Amino acid sequence: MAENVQETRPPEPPPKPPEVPKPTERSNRSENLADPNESRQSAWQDIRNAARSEHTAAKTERDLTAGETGVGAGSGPWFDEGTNHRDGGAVQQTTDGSCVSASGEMLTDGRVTQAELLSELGDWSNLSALRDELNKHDGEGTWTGHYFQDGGEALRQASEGPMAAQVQAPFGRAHMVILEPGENGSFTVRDPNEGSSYDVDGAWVEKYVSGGVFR
Amino acid sequence: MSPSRMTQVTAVGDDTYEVVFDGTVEPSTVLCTVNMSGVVPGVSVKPDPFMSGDYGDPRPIMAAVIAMHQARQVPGA
Repeated sequence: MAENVQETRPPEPPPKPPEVPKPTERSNRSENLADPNESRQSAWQDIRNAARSEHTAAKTERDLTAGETGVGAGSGPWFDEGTNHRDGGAVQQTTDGSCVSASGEMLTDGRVTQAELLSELGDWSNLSALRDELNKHDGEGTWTGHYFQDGGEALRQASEGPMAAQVQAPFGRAHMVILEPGENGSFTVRDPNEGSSYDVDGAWVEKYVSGGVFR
Repeated sequence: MSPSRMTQVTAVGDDTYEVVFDGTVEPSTVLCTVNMSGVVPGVSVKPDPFMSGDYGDPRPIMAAVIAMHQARQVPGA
């Protein structure tokens, strides 16, 4: 029996006039376990090491923008607001909709591959499905995945360690990237859109990160 | 298909809430579970439709759910 019924509305109503909502069946999505494949952890470690080297070298040079390099074009407005864009440092998504699976591979340092995750989650998946799938591999409760109530709390969580972050702009399709805390309040974004990396600050996290999967 | 906005939050368990949306996008109802045990409060959603972008920024929705949850924790509420 329902209790404490409360009507609330978000601060920015969309243009469509309201219609009478029709209740739908709750999803009981079934997700099958993937057979564990051979670990790609060392390969992924190589990618990370290469990215760190590129990062260090790039800091001595001018910032590259999307327009100058073509890196990450099409990822979203979050890309343009990053700095120090560089090729590499991320697992590139293999399909237009496999950013969640590619992020899962990066989050697990290659222990669970994009291909494995994609076979279970499919394209255009979501953070909840990624959390559940990773917990099938690593044990229930190993991974937390949820949404935040505001940007400040997204920033607090992101500062704790690596996170597969859902980034979102108004009424556009969301995207998933890996967000890693760095020094002096900066973060490294590993964007699977084109397998590129860039740096962001806390304001970027507050603006774009709506949820995440993390340990 | 039109964007959806939240129209109602209903408590259905100790930490679980049903959120109803208007508009023509499916699903029009999701279950949200509040987790207050982490570094920051969070909300798990099932099914999770927010990657589509059809529901806008999910954070105000989560804020409403957490606010309701916190209000229910107040003694005598």
